[in-house]
Amino acid sequence: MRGEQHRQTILPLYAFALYLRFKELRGKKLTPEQKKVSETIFDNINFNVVLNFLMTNAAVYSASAVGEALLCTARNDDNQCRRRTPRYDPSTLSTLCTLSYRSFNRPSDFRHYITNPNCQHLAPPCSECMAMFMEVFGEKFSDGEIGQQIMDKIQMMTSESLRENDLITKSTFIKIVNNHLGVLQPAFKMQAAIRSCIMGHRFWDAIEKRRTQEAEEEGSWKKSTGAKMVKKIDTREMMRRYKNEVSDGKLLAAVLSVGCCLVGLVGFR
Amino acid sequence: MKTVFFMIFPFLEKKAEWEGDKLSTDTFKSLHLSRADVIKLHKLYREVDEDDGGTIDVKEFLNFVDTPITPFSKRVFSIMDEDGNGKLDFREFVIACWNYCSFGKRGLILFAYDLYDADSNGTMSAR
Repeated sequence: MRGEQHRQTILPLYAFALYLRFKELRGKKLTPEQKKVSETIFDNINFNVVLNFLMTNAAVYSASAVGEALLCTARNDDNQCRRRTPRYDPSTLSTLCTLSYRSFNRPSDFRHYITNPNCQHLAPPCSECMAMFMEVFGEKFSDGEIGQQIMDKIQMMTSESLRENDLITKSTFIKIVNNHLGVLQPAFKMQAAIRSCIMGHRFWDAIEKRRTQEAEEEGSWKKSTGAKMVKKIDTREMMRRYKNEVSDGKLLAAVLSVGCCLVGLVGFR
Repeated sequence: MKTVFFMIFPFLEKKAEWEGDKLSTDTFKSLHLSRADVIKLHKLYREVDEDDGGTIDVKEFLNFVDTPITPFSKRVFSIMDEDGNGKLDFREFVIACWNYCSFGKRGLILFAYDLYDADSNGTMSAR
């Protein structure tokens, strides 16, 4: 934390790291990924890792974050919570609230969010990433509950303070989607539809297996695309193989023809 | 029975129209597709081609696979369309299906990433 201003702008991330630390302090075991994220935030705020983590777990963690941030200080006769008092200081609480609008389980939380200046720097969605979400989920992507949540996270992450490091690398993207398959659900759905209508799943599964093997041998998926594979095999080599196959086929056919004739002759006798 | 017959008398078998095209034949061979597979694919291709125009457009293709026409599905189709004329010939159709359907999870994720990395700089801007 280099200064007050810096601390204010990265507060949402810091609060999230705090939440993880609190969770750890309360005896709950963090997964290696959670630990890594927590340490990364504290040591050197890393946008990519945090974005990945938030997109993956935001709905779950932010909802419970606010719940845990409010301490039950009075109970009624039925042992239900009558009064809740913020466990943390107001700025930490508000940033915990911003992690997901689902967290607004009480009107006062929402009011806090609206009135807090830390939560007002949301940038308009105009990125490659947003374009992807809009195309994948449709133009009205942001109208849905999940869409709104994802947008909130991205907007929050791309606030003024984080502009110097706002690129999502390939490896981060893979991590995001691996942990949050819903992000590319339409792509998987479309693949399943094409697979079932054209040749069936079993056929493509076998090809997928072979392609994966080849990609592993080559070290890259890109090298095993259809066009590359065509180029990869030398034409002369291919013709040689083709001729061999044709000659093998002819030989087999000739043998079978002779065999059939012999069977026919034996049959006549 | 029919297959056995044509194995014995291969010269009697009628050649499919794609078999005359060396580029197509080489392509299918390099994709490790057997002749029987390609014949099946060709049959399906004819089914997709509702207007019998010899090529299939985005509407025909997505109708056949029962997928709604969305910006995303259009984009996937445009990637399949190698020459960019808005239609798929049989060779493009086979390559496209092979490319898209044989993706594993990781492959499909990378495909989606490349699809939206508009400036192809290897990173995707969040803003």
